Amino acid sequence: MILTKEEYCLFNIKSKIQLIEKDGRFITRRVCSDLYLITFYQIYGFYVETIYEMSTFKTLSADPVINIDIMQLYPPPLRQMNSIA
Amino acid sequence: MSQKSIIETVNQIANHAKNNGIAHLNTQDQSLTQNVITLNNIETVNFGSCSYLGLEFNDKVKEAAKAAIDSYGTQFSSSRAYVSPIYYSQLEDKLSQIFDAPTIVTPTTTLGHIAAIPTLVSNQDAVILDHQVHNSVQTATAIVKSKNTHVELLRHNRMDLLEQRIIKLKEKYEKIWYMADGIYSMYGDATPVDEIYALMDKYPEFHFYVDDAHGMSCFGKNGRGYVLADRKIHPQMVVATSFAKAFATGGGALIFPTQEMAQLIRNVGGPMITSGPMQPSALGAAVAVADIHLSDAIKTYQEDLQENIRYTNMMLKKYDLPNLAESFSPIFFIAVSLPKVAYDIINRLKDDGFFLNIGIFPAVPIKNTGVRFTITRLHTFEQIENMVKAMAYHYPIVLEEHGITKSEIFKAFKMTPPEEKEAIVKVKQLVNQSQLNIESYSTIKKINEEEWNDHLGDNGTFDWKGLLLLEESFSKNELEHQNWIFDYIIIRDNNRKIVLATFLTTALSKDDMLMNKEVSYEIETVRLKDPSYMTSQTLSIGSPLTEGNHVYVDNDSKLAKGAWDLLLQKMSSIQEERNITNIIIRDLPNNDDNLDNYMIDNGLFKSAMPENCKITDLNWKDEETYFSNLSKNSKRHFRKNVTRNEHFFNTEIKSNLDDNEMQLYYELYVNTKNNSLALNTFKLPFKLFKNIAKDENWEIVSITLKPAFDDREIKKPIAMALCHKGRLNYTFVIAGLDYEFNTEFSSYRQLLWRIVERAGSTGYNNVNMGYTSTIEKRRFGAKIVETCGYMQVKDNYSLEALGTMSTSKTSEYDTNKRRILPI
Repeated sequence: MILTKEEYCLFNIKSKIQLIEKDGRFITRRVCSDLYLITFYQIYGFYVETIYEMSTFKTLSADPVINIDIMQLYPPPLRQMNSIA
Repeated sequence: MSQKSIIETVNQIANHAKNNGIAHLNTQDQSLTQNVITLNNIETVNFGSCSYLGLEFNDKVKEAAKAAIDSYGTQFSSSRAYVSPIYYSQLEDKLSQIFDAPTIVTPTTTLGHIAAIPTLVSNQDAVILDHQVHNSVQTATAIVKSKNTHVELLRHNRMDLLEQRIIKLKEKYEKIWYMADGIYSMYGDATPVDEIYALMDKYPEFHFYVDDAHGMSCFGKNGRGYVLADRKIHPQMVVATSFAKAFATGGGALIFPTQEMAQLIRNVGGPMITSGPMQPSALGAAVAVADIHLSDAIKTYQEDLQENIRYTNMMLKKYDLPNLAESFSPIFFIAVSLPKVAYDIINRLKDDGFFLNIGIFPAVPIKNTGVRFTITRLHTFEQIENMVKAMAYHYPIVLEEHGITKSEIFKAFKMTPPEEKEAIVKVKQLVNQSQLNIESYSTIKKINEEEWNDHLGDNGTFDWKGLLLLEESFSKNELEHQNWIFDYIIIRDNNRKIVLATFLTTALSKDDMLMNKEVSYEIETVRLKDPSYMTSQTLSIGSPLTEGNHVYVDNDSKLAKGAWDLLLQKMSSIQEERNITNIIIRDLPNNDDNLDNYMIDNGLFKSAMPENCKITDLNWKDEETYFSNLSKNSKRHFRKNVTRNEHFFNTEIKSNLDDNEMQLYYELYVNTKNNSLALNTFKLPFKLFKNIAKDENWEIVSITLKPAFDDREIKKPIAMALCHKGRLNYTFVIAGLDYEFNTEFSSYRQLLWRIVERAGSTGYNNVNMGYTSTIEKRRFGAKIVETCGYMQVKDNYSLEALGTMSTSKTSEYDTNKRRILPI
């Protein structure tokens, strides 16, 4: 069942990860400064970005993407997908 | 409701649930790790656990339990009054930190109530029980009630009424104890704690005893529960809690405002002295769980649970299931209405791998049956969505199979209905689906006299003309309770053959009709100011004045069950249309298991009927022959109480009387009615007597004293019986007595004898002698006819309030014979 972006945001990070694992679709991933693994997902018709801190093995956030321009930071396959869409 | 009726009904419902495969189940797993249990060879996700935080699988807790066994063995068998294992003091210290108040550990929450309530509450105090307070609190309150402490019931969570009762009761009692649950176990709703604290601040006499079993661990600082949450315990309150739910170890605790009070219960609370202690394993585990509560980990567990609750609420809303529960609580309740629908939904979900519970009478009114389930921290979102999705799939299918509409469910639960008049549409649908046709009339005049009498005319006083008399007598009266609405139902097959025929009346009835006279006396004093107090609109098969089998059913017809379905649906639609509280189907044969199950499935629970007396083989020749057929004891009784007194009386058979003469008999009836609070009914209108006086099918057996024995200036009858002359039966319907003469002359016994004599001498072989006075009537050759009734009550409050008012003086008759008696 689809949640709205507002409903998704009511959950804490642990639950958000559970929702992503259950209902999300992996799009792409990038590494930032060799410290963070940043992953892009599509879920319930919107996008979320998770930030994983490699040194602590913790996911720091799993929030909806506010500015779609953020996609420019990802490797080409995502941009291509977006242009096709 | 009386204890005996409760036991019978609950037993019947539990057996039925067991037979339907949803209760008294056993797991098949040799070991469990999380929330999957195997039932009937199917792995099911457990949505029935009250271990809301899943702490039973916590490694530290399990290790602590094992270590305690290693250290102390499987038990430490000594009363705590003598010596307790070390874990007790450790646990009580930690609990006192958790609750920030003196705390004692009890073997179970129920035993905690039994230790605390009789010690805290004296017979100078009054107890107000919330209507939905847990059964264990009610059990403990019964102990103080037996010591003459005033106990009464309050409508659920009605703080406005609570304050009114405090103001009233504090004039007479030293302390007023309000007893409630923190979180209620069926709908998961909460007691309004802030308002109760305000009342305690306002009224020093007001005290609060609360069972926070379902709130423990899930809520509040250090998991101290819903009630205390972030509050300090009030000096006028006591909290009981449980370790058998989210705390996950078994046992319970009592939390007090002062050390003195805690010590008092520890010293004198019965189970604190005489009951066995908790086992070392449970105590060791409890110490470990207390440590978790005192750490930050408890916050994480609570948050995890709340996330699951949030997700469940979202899913229920999105899948459009009628959830009655509070949004923050781990207890959910899906409105279903009838037990048979809940059984089917729960069974289908079980087959799909989800175990859920039923919420059924007496926890909720029987027509408010629902699917109850709980959410724990161990559930995954996937499990939750899969379960809700499965329920959303089965729910409408089962509803359709049972012919239940959403509108009916919404109305049963007082939710906003999606569509009006859907129940009426439902009757039409049922008719279309079956090979049956239903006819409904508001007067007997529209029904063929011969056809009615052929099917129902010989079952009592409700032949065609008898019903016409009732219609005319119970209409256009000034008093509301003397006006009844009649409905005649005839269901035919496609060949126009009658499959079922009956009549119904809608009438105001007194809820205490069959309660003991002390209760009725108390209620009548309130009715002087508020005549509608504890009265209910009741839709009943038959009428309050008739008795006997009121339902003709062609049991040879394959359509008989369908006809019953149609009748019940019709009754439901009348109930909705007229906003009727109770439905009663009565005078049906007793000991019919199939019928019992059918009625429970349809939301009607069985209720005992008073014993009815009937002479079926009078074979009258003369008085001598009748006497010779009596038993030895009855002969002795007859000689001593009837023959010996015969010379005092004149007996006359009266009919076609004028109003003045009939008024004398009416006065006798009123006299009897006013002396019969044990059978507390509304007064019959004089119009009925006037109509009877002119009806050829009725007569009066009138007894007067011979002038030599009557020293009154105005000679008047001293006993009378209004009797109906049917085709096959002679029926004694209404009695009237002047009690001044009854003791000296045994006039009631003389009356019974003259009724039998009149029936015999006019050729009747069957005499209906009616309810009550069964011992007397049996002495005249009557036999007991056992029948039963089935009830559906929209709101349990009145039933339970009456049960609370019922005193220990309640006789077996009063407790056993519920409210289905005709006048």
